[in-house]
Amino acid sequence: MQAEQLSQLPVWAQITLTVAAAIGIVIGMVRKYAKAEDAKAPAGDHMVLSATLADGHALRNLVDEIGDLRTAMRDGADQRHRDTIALLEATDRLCRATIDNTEAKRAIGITPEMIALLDRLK
Amino acid sequence: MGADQGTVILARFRETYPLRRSEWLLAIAMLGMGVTYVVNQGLFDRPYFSTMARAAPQWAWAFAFVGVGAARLVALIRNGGWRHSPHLRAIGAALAAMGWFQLALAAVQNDFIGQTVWLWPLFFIADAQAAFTAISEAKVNDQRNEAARAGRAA
Repeated sequence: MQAEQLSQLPVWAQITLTVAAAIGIVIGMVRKYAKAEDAKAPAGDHMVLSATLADGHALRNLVDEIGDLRTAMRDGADQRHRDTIALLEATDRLCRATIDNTEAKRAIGITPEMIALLDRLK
Repeated sequence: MGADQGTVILARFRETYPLRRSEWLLAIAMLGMGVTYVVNQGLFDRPYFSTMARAAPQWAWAFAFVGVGAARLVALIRNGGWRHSPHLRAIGAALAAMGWFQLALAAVQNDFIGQTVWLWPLFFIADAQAAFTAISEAKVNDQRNEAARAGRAA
């Protein structure tokens, strides 16, 4: 079957449709801009973190583990080296766990720079 | 550029590309069609392009398609690897959507029971949605910049 050619729209109709489409896009963009919110959680907010993650419990445990290690590093100088390594490993696992979950990464503020840094430190 | 910086940029592209796949593909399509309009002189003499030809000459469409397609690719590369520029991506996607809309009008009038009537309207919808997504990212970007400025001022 041959492609069919309809009678041409008048120029004014073509312009009207184009302007209507442009107005629709502009209105849509203005509404989206007005409604968009930053999903990034405040640092250390475990409740927001766990609600955002697909596997909230396991990752929250990792976050708690990192928090404990950080406290241990601050309090006990003799354990510092071992704790630093453990902290890095736990952070690394956290980053890897969220690598395919952009929302989770955004929620806890994991950036490509952090992942590259961990690669370099290992 | 150091090796570390290269790793970071590559990691950023790996992170952002899946989210912006349609933007990349449609930007390449727009640039490619613009190049076609440049090299294929007389294309707009065909009945299919009569709807677009009466709005502007072929060279103007070629200029617009190449310009918008190239600008979108630059914005995607910059946004994906170096600096956040969702505002540019949003403007590029909105302009591209209007280009696809003209092709959709042409297809509806000149290829009504052909194949392309299914292509351009969907390209238009895809780029309109890309513009909405990018402008949402722009808002988040603006909020973070504002918070950072407020933090520095405090």
